[in-house]
Amino acid sequence: MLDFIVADRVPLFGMDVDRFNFAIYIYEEATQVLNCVACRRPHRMEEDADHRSWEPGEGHVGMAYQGKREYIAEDTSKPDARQIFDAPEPKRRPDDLERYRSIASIPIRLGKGDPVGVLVATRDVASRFYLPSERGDPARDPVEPLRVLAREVALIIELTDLYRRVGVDES
Amino acid sequence: MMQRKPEQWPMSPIEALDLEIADKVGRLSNGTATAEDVSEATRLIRERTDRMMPSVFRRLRAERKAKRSPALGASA
Repeated sequence: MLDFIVADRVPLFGMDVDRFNFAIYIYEEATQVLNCVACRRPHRMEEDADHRSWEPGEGHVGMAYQGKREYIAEDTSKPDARQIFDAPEPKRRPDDLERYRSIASIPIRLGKGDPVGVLVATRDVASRFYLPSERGDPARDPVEPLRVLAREVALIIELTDLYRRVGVDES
Repeated sequence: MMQRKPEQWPMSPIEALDLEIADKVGRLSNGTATAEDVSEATRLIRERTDRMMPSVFRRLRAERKAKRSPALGASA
């Protein structure tokens, strides 16, 4: 599903030559951490590399999961954003600030239920993701396509879980 | 500089609207909704739809306008 937004990243987000990352983190009960289960980056080598896992409340991924709300940073280099969006030690990496300059973390959940995970989009250019103002053009909200995708992912996970619980053959 | 807590980070007005809708719909699904909740949920969902698909509504409005005008309607 990430491929849909990656394929249309230019009209949806104005991404062209940016270094981007779209990822889905799912919470695993057994380990009690959020693990990356799918990601799309400009290079396959980066997609296949090891990804950090996050505990609830840890980093913007863990905060979006625990707080059950979106975390959107227009520019993570600003001091107030760094307080919130800098990864905690020892998980912080030297190039985090350069690579993750603009961030959107969206909980994957239906309604007001508990999230099953977090959808994350990052770019290495500031001001790519931002909170739209009340008076701004809602058609230009760069986070809306991510919300739609997060809901679709939540719906699919809920449905497959329902099938498993009632023992219906999904094929 | 004051230490900012994660929960103090600003929330998108659209997300706030989504949470309000989820609250009303939750009451509808568990049977505790009042008539006021129902009409308020309808209003909120309409507002959310307007935010979600403004370009679609703009196009529909333009098409309706074109239909009302015989010259434009014929060429459409």
